[in-house]
Amino acid sequence: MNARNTESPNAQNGLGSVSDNVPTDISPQIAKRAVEWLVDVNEAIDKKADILKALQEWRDQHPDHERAWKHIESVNNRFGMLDVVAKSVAHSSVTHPQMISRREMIKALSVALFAGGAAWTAKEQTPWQQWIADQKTGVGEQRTVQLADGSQIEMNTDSAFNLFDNTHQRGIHLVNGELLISTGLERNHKPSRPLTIQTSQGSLVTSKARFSIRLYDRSCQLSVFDGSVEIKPILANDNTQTIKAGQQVNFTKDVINKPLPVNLNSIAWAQGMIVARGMRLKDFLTELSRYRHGRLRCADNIADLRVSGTYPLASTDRIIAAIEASLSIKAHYMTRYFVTLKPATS
Amino acid sequence: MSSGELTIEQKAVQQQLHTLYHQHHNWLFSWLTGKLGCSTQAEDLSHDTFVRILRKQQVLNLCEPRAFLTTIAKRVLSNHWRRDQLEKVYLEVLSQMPEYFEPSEEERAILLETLTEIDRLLDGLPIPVKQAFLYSQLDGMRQQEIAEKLAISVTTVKRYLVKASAHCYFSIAVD
Repeated sequence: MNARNTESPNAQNGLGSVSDNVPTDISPQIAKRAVEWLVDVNEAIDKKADILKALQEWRDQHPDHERAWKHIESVNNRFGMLDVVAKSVAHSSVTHPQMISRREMIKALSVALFAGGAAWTAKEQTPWQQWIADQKTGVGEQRTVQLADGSQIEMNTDSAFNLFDNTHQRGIHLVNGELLISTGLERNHKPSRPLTIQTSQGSLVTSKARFSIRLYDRSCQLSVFDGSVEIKPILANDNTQTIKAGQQVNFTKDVINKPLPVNLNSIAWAQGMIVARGMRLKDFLTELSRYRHGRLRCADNIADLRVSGTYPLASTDRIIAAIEASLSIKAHYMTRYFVTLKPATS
Repeated sequence: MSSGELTIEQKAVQQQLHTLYHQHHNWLFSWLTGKLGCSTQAEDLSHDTFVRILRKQQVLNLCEPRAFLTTIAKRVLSNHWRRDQLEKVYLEVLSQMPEYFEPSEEERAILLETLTEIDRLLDGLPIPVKQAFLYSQLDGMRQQEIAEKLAISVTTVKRYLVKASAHCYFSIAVD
């Protein structure tokens, strides 16, 4: 309990509201400094003790500093009570502020909850697009689709796309997930028109290429393995860029980031494998989560352990068992949908 | 602070609230009943409206007490509807969860209260700013991760976090 709460005359209401207790008499300068401290403390990894010490000195400087910090702590204590379900509701209510229809929310949430992966927030695109997509794969499923012109599309887990073909363009609209596409590379085959791939961030056009495209919440990643692909972000139509074989690039609605050398491991899934090279455990689990239902996570104190290896995606349970053995950690299953990795000793 | 030691200002606040309650409670109750179509809820929310005014602990300059009450009551009402929406979604999601996942009635009430609170505290901020804040504060993500998730620079993430926190904790605008 902080000082504000004890002053509150509202003791009869056990669920006292934090926002009514905002200490309005604290100067904006102090308030701003306090939230900057919060941001720094949250970000601190190795130097946490130093930052906390400096923060303590700041708090000791003036009673208002201390009050401002106590207020932040009391609000954070409230936030800390949210469980996974409530957190996902919070995320979704932010991305779907109008909450026009409850059904939309539920669908968005089911995607977030059961698609696993980094996705504890609803995906940006409207979820029903996934249910009506021409082609889709479930979580953990992979499939190859052959188009009429000979192009081959390999679909990774939890992916969906629609086909379109009109007088101007032929192509696919990627709604969710990740695809590995080969087009125009077959012998004796010359597609009459280029292939267009539309995404929420922008479109890709190519006549001849082998490339993968992965949709994130707010960006797309393109990796080109053969040929070349042109990117046009939705909001920057004149800013097109050609990505050549051996390059991968992340782009958003208005920005194409700097191309990097392509990472072949990123399409190991097409061979039914997942490859890690000194990957943070937390990142590895995020990646692995894409292939299984439910939630897979680890305790903070082992998040930075490194994972290396090539694992068959056929059984994610076996991958978890393998990491348990190699990193001396223990998987705690609460039903098969909630798995938390913890140090073996705890 | 015991009630025997009220300052003059606190006494004035109490007196004013007392008057406000007696003169306008019935009117407010009917107004809310009209909005809600339910007298029990209207009673609860009219109570909440007065509690909210009480919490302010300020002597109010009331030329038009009913306009003032309506403003506060509208806020209480929109909060109520928002909470209602969040609750429905929450319960629906909960029904899809494994069985062990069953918070008690009391825990639920606290969770919903907190959800509504966060929703209101972040109200008015742009969506990506809210998202950055939730990723950081609820999920403990680092700025780098948030930057990748939202496809923005780390500098922007940091700016968003300061902006959202200043708004959320202290109701001040920072750019």
